[in-house]
Formats: sequence, structure tokens, C-alpha cells
Amino acid sequence: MDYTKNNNNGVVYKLAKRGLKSNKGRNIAAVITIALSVWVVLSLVLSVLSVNQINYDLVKDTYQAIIRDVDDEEIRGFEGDSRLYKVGAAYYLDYTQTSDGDIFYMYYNDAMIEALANVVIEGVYPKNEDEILVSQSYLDMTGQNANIGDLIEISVGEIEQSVFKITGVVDDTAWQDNMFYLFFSKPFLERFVGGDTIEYTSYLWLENVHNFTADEAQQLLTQVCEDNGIEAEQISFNSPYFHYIGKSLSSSDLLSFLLIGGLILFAAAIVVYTVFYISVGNKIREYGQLRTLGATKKQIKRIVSYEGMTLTVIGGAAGVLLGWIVGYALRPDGWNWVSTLWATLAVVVFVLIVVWVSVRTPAKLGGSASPIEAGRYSAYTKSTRKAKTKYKKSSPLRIAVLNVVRSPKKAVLTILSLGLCGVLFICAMSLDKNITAKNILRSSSSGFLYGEYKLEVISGENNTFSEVQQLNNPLNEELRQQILAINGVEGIHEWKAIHGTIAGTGQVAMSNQTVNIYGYAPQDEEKLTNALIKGTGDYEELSQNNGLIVCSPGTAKDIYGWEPQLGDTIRLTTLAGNGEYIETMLTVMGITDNTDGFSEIFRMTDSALQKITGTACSDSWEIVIASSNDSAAEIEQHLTTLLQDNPYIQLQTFSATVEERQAELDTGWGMIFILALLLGVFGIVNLINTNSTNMFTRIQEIGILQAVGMTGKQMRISLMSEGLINTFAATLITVAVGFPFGYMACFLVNETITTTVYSIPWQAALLYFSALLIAQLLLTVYDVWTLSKIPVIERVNVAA
Amino acid sequence: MSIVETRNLKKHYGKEPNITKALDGVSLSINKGSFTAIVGTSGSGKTTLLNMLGGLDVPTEGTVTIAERQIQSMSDEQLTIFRRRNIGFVFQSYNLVPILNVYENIMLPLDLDGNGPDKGYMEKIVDLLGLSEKIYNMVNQLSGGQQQRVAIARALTGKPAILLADEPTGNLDSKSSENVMEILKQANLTFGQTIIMITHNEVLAQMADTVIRIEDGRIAESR
Repeated sequence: MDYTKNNNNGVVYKLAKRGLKSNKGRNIAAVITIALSVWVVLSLVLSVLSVNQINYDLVKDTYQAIIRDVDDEEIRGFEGDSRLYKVGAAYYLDYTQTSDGDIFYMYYNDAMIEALANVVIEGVYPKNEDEILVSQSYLDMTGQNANIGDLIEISVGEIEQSVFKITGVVDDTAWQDNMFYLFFSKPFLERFVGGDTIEYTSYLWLENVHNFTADEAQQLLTQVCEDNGIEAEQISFNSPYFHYIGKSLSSSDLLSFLLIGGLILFAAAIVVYTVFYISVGNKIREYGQLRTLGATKKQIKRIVSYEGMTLTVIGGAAGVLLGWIVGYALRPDGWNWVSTLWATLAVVVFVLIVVWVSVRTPAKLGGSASPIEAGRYSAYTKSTRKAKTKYKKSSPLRIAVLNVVRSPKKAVLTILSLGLCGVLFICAMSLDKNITAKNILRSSSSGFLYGEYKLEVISGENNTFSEVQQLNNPLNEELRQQILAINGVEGIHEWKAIHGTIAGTGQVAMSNQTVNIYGYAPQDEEKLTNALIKGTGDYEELSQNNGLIVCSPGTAKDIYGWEPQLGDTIRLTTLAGNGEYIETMLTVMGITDNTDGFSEIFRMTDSALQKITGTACSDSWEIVIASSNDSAAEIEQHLTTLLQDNPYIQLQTFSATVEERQAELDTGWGMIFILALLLGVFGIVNLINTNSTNMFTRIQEIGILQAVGMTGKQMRISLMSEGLINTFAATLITVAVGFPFGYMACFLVNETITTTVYSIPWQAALLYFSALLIAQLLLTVYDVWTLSKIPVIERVNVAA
Repeated sequence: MSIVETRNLKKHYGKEPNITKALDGVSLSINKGSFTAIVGTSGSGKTTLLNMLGGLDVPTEGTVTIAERQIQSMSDEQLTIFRRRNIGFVFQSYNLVPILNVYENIMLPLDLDGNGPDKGYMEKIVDLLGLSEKIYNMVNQLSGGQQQRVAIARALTGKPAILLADEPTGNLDSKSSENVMEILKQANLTFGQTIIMITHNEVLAQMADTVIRIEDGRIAESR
């Protein structure tokens, strides 16, 4: 009979159960730590997954490709292609500006109207020339109380005052404000174009698109187009669709999870390790007795591991429940059971591994308890001092120091746990203090580099944006003079940009993609040159050769699937000032590291943009006012009055934008503060656990010290000094590691701000030190109070 | 001349009818420079009496007067300082501080009092106790007998008027026990300290000048 194979699970389980019952303090510390870590990590994962789910839901039914300049025959070709599920055709007849907004006159085929998102359509689609589908907001804007079947009079382009019968009403309340849509029938469109070939913009949906990867889908769409006689230049893919389809997590999300989750679980591991290490240390005699009675090392290890896993299950279940509640509460629209269960499983498995690893060493310590040695073992009878040491006068402070260093591993873990919280807190404070909306806006070309006000050309639809900006730019000379005439305005800094599509040529394999290319003035040459990694920043050279500067090639690859290299050539198609679409070859001549405020992906010189389009290409104006000017409100009033009838210019003020952006930043930094707070809770749990176990095991020793003459005051000083040593050490880690990490965190978020205006968050370090000091003080007061309730002789006689 | 006096000393635990009378009206007087042994069976109240004499425990009733000062009238702080200057303790389980070496343990009461050592006196004690070779060792490297000698040295170092020893040989083998008793006797004779010792061992008790027998919390015999 093989006695080593006896089933002894029962007794191990019983002993572990008894161990759990006898050590409630440790259990609470471990369960709180595990529950909190699971809760926060799971909430974080679920909230990000929910956002992705919401984004996925928004794009999942949208088209995959846009094909420009497609005629009826090609549309019919698409409609007959079994590889396509749906074919949309759209034509923009006209748009008009009113003081209330823009009116868009459209033709949509049935498939396009069906695909309109977030709308309810009453009635039917227009079929006859004199029929029309109107948006509710249009009726409201024009003050017409018309219903289905009523007649309304509308002018479209050169066709004036036609009477249309309303066949349906679109509830467009979820659409963008100040944009009003009217949908006409195919016969009316034919009348509108007057016998010319109609060139639609076609939208394609692939059949069974979910069976394909993004690359496969794009290849198939290209093939479909090719088979239907469409040139590659006419195709643009729907970037948002391909961004969200097929991947539940982006690589940056995954990296964030690993970093934040790893940090939380590392901190939790320290706590779990410490509480089990101390708990096992205190029970080593008991384990020694079990060894004497015949328990094997493996059985002792299993007892400790059972205890750890049981606490993990309890803490983990509580954490999962809380995580689900928070995850659902944050984004109920994005809740998805399948991804939730997978995320939960991943987090729980991860936590189980972390706890198992954390408990492993203490379990080994328990298993290694020798029947003979364990009888004499006490976690505090050991000393780390050398066998022979010189005499040093014993004072309360020295006794405190010796007590801290007698168990260096425990001291280091406790201090590390507190230090981690401090480091994260300092990082959060560094970000909060330096990466402010004000600093961001003042350091970015997309913000307010020069002025207090910004006038930006706007348009609701991409197709008309070019027309607004490149044909009828509202930022004209007349407006410039009006603005400069305002008292207090010192100047205008103009930012130029063009809108168009780009496609790869030669070695660059890239299908048509919509793009904005931003300009820069000669005075910005130095800044841009400083940020160059390679290539040239020479304004003249770039202007003459249609040179393209690419900021952050990695981002370009994420968005366009093309990682630009020096010398790459691409074809730009854009609307010229004469109303014709023109093609221009651009050459990548410079690559920057995304610094110095020029964060937009593509940039060209202002003169190159003007040369290509033959227009001013004004995109936005920054209004610079006198620094001592105290009539900002009056200037704003002037600008508002000046722009009130111009729907294509949006006025932004620095102060309002700061307020808006700061709120967003505060949310982000708030998350880091919550993380720091969580680690703070872990640190405090660790501190309390260490302190209470210290007191439990040292109660006799303190009694002896008092019996031989240590006064109550000396004892208080000694205990307080121990706390101070922890506080100073944790603060030292916080300052020594936190300050460089805080700087690095700011640098990663915004290199430009960090290298120019970074300031160290001293107040945060002081606050952290004070909070820790108060926590230690309270613990010491509690310890002294606890000790005062036990007579000295009882403490001397207590068995440690 | 009496250095320790108790009057009607009582220590009761619990309440009637489940009251436990650890001490029940003990009155005694111990002369300065004497060596007194307190004997009695387990649970008779002898350790409770010793703790009362050392100011480590508070009596339910009665008084303890040491060197003409009634210790019940002192505050906790005053009592601690009085204790470290006038009373030395030797416990059965040595009760040394593990983070300090031998010399630091011996010097602990003086260090806590802020006084420097009387070097000549210290050397005598260390020699007498045979600790010269181990003086800078950590205490966990010593045998039980050596640790008890360190505890005795610690008790003697402040030149206390009284040395209270609770079963000082309880954890030691017979040879070490004899050794410790010799040391206590020597200290009594050499330094003139009053020694009050609790013991189970009737043979060791015979080495004392006076033997007090405690039974059921009362003095049953004094000879």
C-alpha cells in the first residue's frame, strides 16, 4: 500500500479553514486588497471596452467605401454585383446659407435614406419630380407647420420657386445643429442637371463584411471597383469603420491596461505577500507543531495556499460584482455580456496568478518550519545585526531604528507599498500642474499659439468644406480689415489648410484617403526645423518642390496604413480656386517627432498651399490683442457682432476653450488620482497590518523595556520614531522616484510643455508627507492607547 | 532596617461569588541587604506578590512601601523612573531585548535613565557574571544560563536597592542554577543589595537569609 498517496485533502482543508477563522485581521486586509484591485482593474477594462462597443455600434452598419464621380450605369453595375450588400448613391444639388444655419439640398437613393442613422422617417421616399422629403428641423427653422401631403415652395440652384409635395418627414433631432436637409427625387435630380451625366458619390456596403479582416475587405472592395471599371483614385475607405471593426482593443488601450493593471496588481501583490508573510511568521510555531505531528512540507504549503486562494475567491467575487456595477453604470449603452465575461475571466485569472505567486514564498516559509526550530521561532527573536556589535547607547530613537531594520524585508515592502502610492500621486500632481488646458492651448498650432480669439472656417459636410474654404472663403480681406479696426486688436495670425484626398504613387500603396494638410508661415520655420528628425525644413525648398512634412509617421500609419519615408510621393486631389478638382504630386521632404506644437500629421508651407490651389486657403485666424488690454469683453462683443450672420466662421475664445479642455483633463487626471488613492488604501492596509502584527508580536518586548525602566513618554517617542522612519523613507522614495517619473509622465503626454514650462509639484510632496505623518501619528496613538490598557506585567508574561 | 514593607496587601480578580484571591492580606517587612526567598506552590500568589513589590502590578487593596516611599501614590511615569533607579528585575524567561547586544542589554536601564555607567562597577559585575568574553555578542547567541546572567547583570547595573528575581533558575539546568544562585549571593554580599527571590526549589531557598512561604495568597510561614 502506498501511504504517500493517501487522500489528505480533508484534513488540509480543515486546517486551512481553521487558519482562516483564527486570523481575521489578515483576512480583512487581503480581501479588501484583492477586491479593490479586481474592482478597479475590471471597471477600467469594462469602461474602455464599452466605449469601443459604443463606437463599434456607431460604425458597424455604415458603408465601407466611398466612390466618387460614379454614373448611373456604374451604380447599376454595383447593384448587380453579388459581392455588395448595399449600394448608396448621393448627389449634392446645392446648399444655401441662412442666419440660422446651412440648408443642404440632396438626392439620396433608397439605400442611402435607409442607412440614415438615428432618424425616424414618417411617410415615404419621394418618387416623382415634385415630391420631397424634408427634415423636421427645416420645417421648424422656416416656421412652416407643414405635414405630409402639404405643399411647400422651394428654390434649388437655378430652379426657382418650385412647389413640392411633402411625402415624408425626417426626425433629425439627433443630427448636428444648424444643418437642415431636404431630399429630392431622382426625376427632380435629372431635371436639375439638365441632361448632363449625373456623377454621384456612391457608398458601398460589402456582403458578409464581418467575415473579412480589414485588409481583406479593402482588397475585395478595390477588386469590386476594378471589376466595375472604377479607377483606384475614385475610392476612399471609411477609416472609422475599419478602425473599430475587427478589434475590440487598440494596441494603446492594451498597453494602458497592462501598465495600469500591472501597477495596481503589483501593489496588491506587495500587500498580499506582506500580510501572508507576517501571518505565516506568526504561525511558524503552529506549523512546527503540525510538522512534529506528521504534516509534510507540502501539506503545510497547501494549507497556506488554500488560505490564500480562498481569500482570493471571496475578494475576487466582491471585486467582480463591484466592477460590473461600475462598468455598467459608466457606460450602460456599451454593455456587452460576451466581452464582459471574457474581460472578467482575464482579470480574475491574472489576479489568481498574482495572489498565487504572492502567497508562494510565505507558503514555502511555512513548509520549511522545522519541528525543532519552530518551537523557538518568533518573527521577532531574530536579529539582523552582526554576531558581534559595538556598544551604542540605547535611546528611544535608536530602539526605533533597530526595530525598523530588524525585519528589513517587511520594512522595505511596507515602505515600497507607501512609496508606490506616493510616486503615482506625484505623477498625477505633475500632470495636473503642468499639463493644463492653458499650457496645451498655448503650445499647439491647433490651440491658441498667438491669440485670445480664433476664427475657424467650418462646414458640416466634407464635400462642401472644400467649397467653403477653397472657393468662398469667409476669412477674406474685408473681414480682416474690420477686425483690425477693432480697438485693442494688435494683429491676426493666419493658419492655412487645404482639404482633399491623397493616394499613393510608386512604392506607396495607399488608396484614396481624405486628408487635411495644414500650412505654416515663414516665421514658424525655425520651430518646425527644430522638431525635424530627418529631411529639410527649408521654407523655400519645400515651397518650390511641393514638399510635405509628416509629423509622427506612426500615427500616419495607424490612420492611413502608410508609414511615410523621405522621398515618398503621393497624389493630392483637391479643389482649386477655379472650381476644378486638380491633382498635384507631393513629396515627403521632412519628418518631425511631433513636437513644438505642430502636431497635425501633414504640413506644407503656406506658399505651397496657395500655389497648388490658387486661393488663400485660410483655415483659421488667431486674433492677437494687446497684453495690457482690459477691454477683452468689448473685443469679443465686436467679433460676435461681426460674425453673427456668417455661418461658416466659428468664433472660439481662449478662456472658454481653456475651461472646456480643463474639464476633460481633470477627468483624465482624476482617474490617476483615483489610482493613487487606491494604492494609498493598499499602502495604509499594509501599514495597519504591519503595525498591528508588530504590536502583537512585540507587546512582550515593549513590556520588558517598560519593566526595566522605559517611561511611557520614551515608549511614545520610540513608537513615533518608527512611524517617522517609515514616513521619511516613503517620502524619500516618493520624491526621488516620483519627481523624475512625474517629469517623464508629463514629457510623454506633451513634450513641448514639459521642456518649456515644467514645474515640480513640491506642494504635492508636502501634502503626501503630511497625510502619511497623520496616518502614522494616529496609528501610534492607537498603539499607545492599546498598550496602556494592558498592565506591564501582563505584557511581560504574554507569549509572543 | 526595613526597606520593603507591605500592609494588608490584596489582589483580587473577578467579583463575588467567582472571586479569585491571588493575594489576601499580606503584610511583611524585609530588611535592607537581606536575601529573602519566597516559596509556595504553583498558584499560591508568590509571583503576584513579587509583581506588587516591583510596582509592575496594582493591588486591589493595601500598600507597598519601598525605601520609605509608598509606590501606590506615584504616577505611572514616576513609578517607572523610581523602578529603574531602585529595583532590578530578573525574570524566569530572561526577557532580554533581542535587538540589543549583551552590553547594550546590561546598560539599558542606565541608558534609558540618561546616565553613564560606573565603569569600575560595571567591570566587577561583568567579571563576576563571567560575561567578559561575550560582552558584544547578540543575546540569541548565548545559552540559557548565559542569558540569565545577562539578565542579572542588567538588574544589578543601576545599583538598585532591591533585586527582585522571579524563578531565576526555572529554565536552567542544575549546574547553571547553582551558578546563578552563587552570583545572586555574591551580589548580595559584594554590593549589599536586597534580594527577594521566588523559587519552587526548597534547596535553593535554603541559601537565603529568610524564607517566606505563601499559601492561598497569605503568608503561611516566615523563618
